[in-house]
Amino acid sequence: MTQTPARPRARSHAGAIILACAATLALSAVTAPGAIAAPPEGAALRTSSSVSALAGQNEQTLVVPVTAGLEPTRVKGTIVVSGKPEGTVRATVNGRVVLETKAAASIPLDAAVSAADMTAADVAGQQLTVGLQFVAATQTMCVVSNATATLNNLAVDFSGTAKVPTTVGEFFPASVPAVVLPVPAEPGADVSAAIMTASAAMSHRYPDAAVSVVPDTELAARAANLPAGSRVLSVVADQGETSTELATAAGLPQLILSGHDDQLRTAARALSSDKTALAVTSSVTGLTSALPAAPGLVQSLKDLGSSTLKLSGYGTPESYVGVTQSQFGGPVSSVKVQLKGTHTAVPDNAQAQVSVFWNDYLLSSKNLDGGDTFTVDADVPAGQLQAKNGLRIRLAALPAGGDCTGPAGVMPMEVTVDTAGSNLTAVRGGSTKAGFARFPQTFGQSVPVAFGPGNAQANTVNAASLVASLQRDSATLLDTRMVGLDDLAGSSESGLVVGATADAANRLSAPLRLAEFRTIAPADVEYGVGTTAPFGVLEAFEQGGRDLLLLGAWAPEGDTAGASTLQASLASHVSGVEGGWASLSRNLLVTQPSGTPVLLESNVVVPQKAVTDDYRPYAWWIGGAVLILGLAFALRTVLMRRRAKAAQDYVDAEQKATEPGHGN
Amino acid sequence: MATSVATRRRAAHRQPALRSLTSLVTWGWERLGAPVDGRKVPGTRIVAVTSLLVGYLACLYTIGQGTNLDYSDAQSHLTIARRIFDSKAPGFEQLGTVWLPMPHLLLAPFVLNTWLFSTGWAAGLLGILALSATTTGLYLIAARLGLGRAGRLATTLVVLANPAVLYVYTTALTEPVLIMCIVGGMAGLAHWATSRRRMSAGELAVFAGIPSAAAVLSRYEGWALVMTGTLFVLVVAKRRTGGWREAFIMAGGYVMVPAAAVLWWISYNWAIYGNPLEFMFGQYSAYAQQKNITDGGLLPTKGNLGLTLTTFHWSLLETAGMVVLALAACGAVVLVFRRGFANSTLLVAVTGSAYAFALLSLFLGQTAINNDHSLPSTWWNNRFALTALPLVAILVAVFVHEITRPARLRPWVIGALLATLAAQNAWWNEDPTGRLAVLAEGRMSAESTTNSTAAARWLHDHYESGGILMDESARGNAVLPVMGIPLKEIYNRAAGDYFGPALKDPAKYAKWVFVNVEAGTGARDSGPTDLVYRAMVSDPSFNVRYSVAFSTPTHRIYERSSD
Repeated sequence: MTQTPARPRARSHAGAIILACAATLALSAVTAPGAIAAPPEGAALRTSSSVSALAGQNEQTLVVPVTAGLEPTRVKGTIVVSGKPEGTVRATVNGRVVLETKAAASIPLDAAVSAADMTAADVAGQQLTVGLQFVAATQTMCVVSNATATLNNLAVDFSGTAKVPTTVGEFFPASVPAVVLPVPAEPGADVSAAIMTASAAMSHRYPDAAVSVVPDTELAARAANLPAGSRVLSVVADQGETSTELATAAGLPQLILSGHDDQLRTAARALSSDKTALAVTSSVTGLTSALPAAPGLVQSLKDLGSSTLKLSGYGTPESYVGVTQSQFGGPVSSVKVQLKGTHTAVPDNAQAQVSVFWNDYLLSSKNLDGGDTFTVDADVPAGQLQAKNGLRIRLAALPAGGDCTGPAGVMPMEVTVDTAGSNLTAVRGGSTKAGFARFPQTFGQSVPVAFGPGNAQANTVNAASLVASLQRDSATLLDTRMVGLDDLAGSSESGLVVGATADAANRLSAPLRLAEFRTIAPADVEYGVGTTAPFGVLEAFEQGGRDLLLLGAWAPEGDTAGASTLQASLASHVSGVEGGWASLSRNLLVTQPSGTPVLLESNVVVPQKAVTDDYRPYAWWIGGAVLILGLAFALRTVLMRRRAKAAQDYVDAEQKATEPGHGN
Repeated sequence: MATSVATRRRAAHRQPALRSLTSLVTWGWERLGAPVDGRKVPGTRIVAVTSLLVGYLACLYTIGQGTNLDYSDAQSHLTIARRIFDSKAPGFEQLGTVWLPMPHLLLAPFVLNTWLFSTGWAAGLLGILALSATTTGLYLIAARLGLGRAGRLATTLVVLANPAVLYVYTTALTEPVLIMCIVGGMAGLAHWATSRRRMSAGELAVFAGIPSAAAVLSRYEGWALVMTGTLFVLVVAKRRTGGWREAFIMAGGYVMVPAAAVLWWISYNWAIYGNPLEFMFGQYSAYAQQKNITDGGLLPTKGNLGLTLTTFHWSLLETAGMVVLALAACGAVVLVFRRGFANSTLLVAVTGSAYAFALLSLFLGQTAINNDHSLPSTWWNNRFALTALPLVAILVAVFVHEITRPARLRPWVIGALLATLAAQNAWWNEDPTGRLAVLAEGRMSAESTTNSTAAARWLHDHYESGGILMDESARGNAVLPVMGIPLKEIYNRAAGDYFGPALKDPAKYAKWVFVNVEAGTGARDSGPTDLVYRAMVSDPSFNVRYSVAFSTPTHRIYERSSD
């Protein structure tokens, strides 16, 4: 009998995606000396990323994009096994087994590969899929080893010359390791908006690529460290029709998008579409794209990215589906889960249950018995809903008599979830406390951005970097547009403020004003920060029923250069932080002159004078109350006098009527 | 046939019973709307009994859930009351100086029983009586103000239909006693001010002075009541008699008992602590505690009237509810419009003196309140907003009385008001600890003492004899009722001369040591450091003589290694 491992397809789909993302992200940090459009033969792509496979888990893969024109020659790395190294470790390239050996604490990987191992990612790119599997020595059919094999420091040697794209379609292959967006000095509002939109478009289109935004003077320095296949995307103002042009910048293929006003922004938005791959000319004019429709509040598991969901075997095989609030097109206050599926017959004396967890909270559990179908209806309780969530479906099955050791030939339990017919129904509303966790879903699809006065180039760089980070956590394309600070302050829309001044922070009632501050526990920030040393801050807060992000800085004696540097370092930190935007918790990210930025809750900040002063006008409530009571008293007095006068007049008239001689 | 006859007989027997029940309800209903007759206010007993019943049910619920001991202060009050009799150094000096003594003196008879003490039923029983006295007092005031049945019942409903108020009355917090005493004093003043018969100064002292004195010895809001009450008596007596002499005699009659209470408190402080103003500036005084908070910049309401108003009224709103506050605001306007500055208006204003005092204290930085709209936002002292309860209840009564005057509309108006009140309660019920500030604070307090409570329960289950050394005043250590062990077994700060030697040589005195081990890591305003912990870490032999018997991240229990 084939004994099925207890976690046969555990997280296979989502896990592969996550690992591929991680790997490709890491590839952006590849050190490839002289990585230009035509790298020298024998260069290596080296990555510090890793791919892990749990014992008994299906093969886990790592996708390495290979630029057109290059040919891989060797794949190298080290496989480390944690836990008991019992079983077999297998490495594959595009499904071809390149290594199969008995598990050991450390196993070197060095295998020859060729062009035949590559698969075409699209017309303009190819990829190498490296797989890792840890086949555990079987213990029982219900118990799984928790040992893990990890492939570290994957390096790919390659030969050949990278092909320079000659059409817009080739400029946008299926995957790229990195995209750089240079920002010209003093960009106009239309260029800034287009750069931010392009930044979102690239992050949306290439979720695994490192998207960076730099001042154009720093392009060469940034490009020097990028791997082959990276792209430069420039946006320039031009009063003519919106058009694209291919060129080379800093040794990398460059696409120049030119145009003006809102057409420039919509053209930048169009770059997110796969349809650009169809452009077979070096220049395209009139590029435009409508904003994709917002996702609805009902999403099937298939819509959420899980096209097949099958659990089989004994023990506790499980599968995981990531669910973000942005997949429902905005913030949601509750989610109803309805799962439908089928299962194989449960043998006599065997037991099987299907359990559904939401962020490790058990939503529902059902015994699988009579019949061959099951449904699970469950509400996610308030408080369990986060920006990013995980729906875990677990099959818990025991063979007949609970005997996990045999006999051979036991039919495995199997459960198949109908991913198209299983739905998650959300209700629009809020579920998380004000802070970073409300982003990006609070934007829906629209991100109005306002700049503070001053350096538009720096503001554009910072804003586009933040937008790129937000986009990575958003399922929908973010439509970024420039608005005036006054307009944003007066609107009810959520938005982003970059380069905020102290006045702007006061006006928007930011929890941390750009002024001196101290924390309740002095150890929260470096000594002097906020009093004698400058600080930069990214704040996420609720104001007037909407959520705002504000990036600003404070420096003693108006050190604007220092303040600008701190803002740039914060934007850069958010772009590169491990875990991305989702790793930001609380509502303040404060950067300090030295050391790493710290996440703070505004509650740990001793109330600043500017904050407490906001409340002083409420003192007029007393005046208002006294005024209302005074008016009530005045009205009473007037009415009483009138009544007294009327009574007096009546008495006078009566007296007059009874006077002798009256009426004669 | 025989069965049929028997059934008819039973039915015939039931009909008079039904009739008598109906007539009883009708009689009660009429009593609740009957005019005041001298000293007697019809319907008082009905309100009193109903409130006793509601209070009992509230106690059954909260004590059953164990939430009545959520507040650390509630446990401290129970402990102070009990240690008057049960302590290493029993006596009246155990009343201490941190809090005024009346709540503890009233609790004392109830906490004599260990079960009543450890379950919190002692406070529950006092709370039931206080709830009954409060609603009855409000009913009396409303009746004396000339309000009809709807207005009178509205005051009662403001109290009895508020889960936050009911919760507080099941705990050992000082608010139930304070509000009872304030309302008692106000009811006495209302009687005096509205009575056709001229009451003597002695009668005023008995009916208004004594409850006011009790308020003076309950919380400092009571002192404000006496000041404004005295002014009220002066003005009303002058209006009545036209002579200042008579007015001063009456004012003196009212104020003499409360003044004696103040003098007693100052004398007590002088006698026990050698400083008549120990309660104001001593080591454990509110001033000393506020100083830490002020120095840390965490008292932003000080000198900021706008923030003071915002902070206090959010607490009030999240305690009394939007519906009740809106009705009260309308009531204030109606009162001034209908009655101008008549004696009845002044009386209502005096009812609000505790509310004004609470606002003033917050503005002057003498107290701190925090809620989800304060700076910083947390939950702290929201129950102080309950000092506005008597004023709110009376103003609601005035408004309800006014809008139910037209008989044609009365059923509709009353129906609408009741429906709104029910909706308010339904909304609260969806998330009581998130929407009612007092309950939110209780939950937060309970969560912050999860470890010490677990340690106390462990000791309750395992302690047989041998004595316990602990610093009950330290952060999170106010868990003696949960521990449920006779207080004479415990060496703590209240043990007086026994505590010092026990700190120096714990093994000689105590088999068990209960200690908070997070000294120095807490927030600035989180209470004194655990003296036992300090002594323990400075004693190198401690870990030789004691071993850990129970441990949590914040609290540990040590057991002496050898007997």
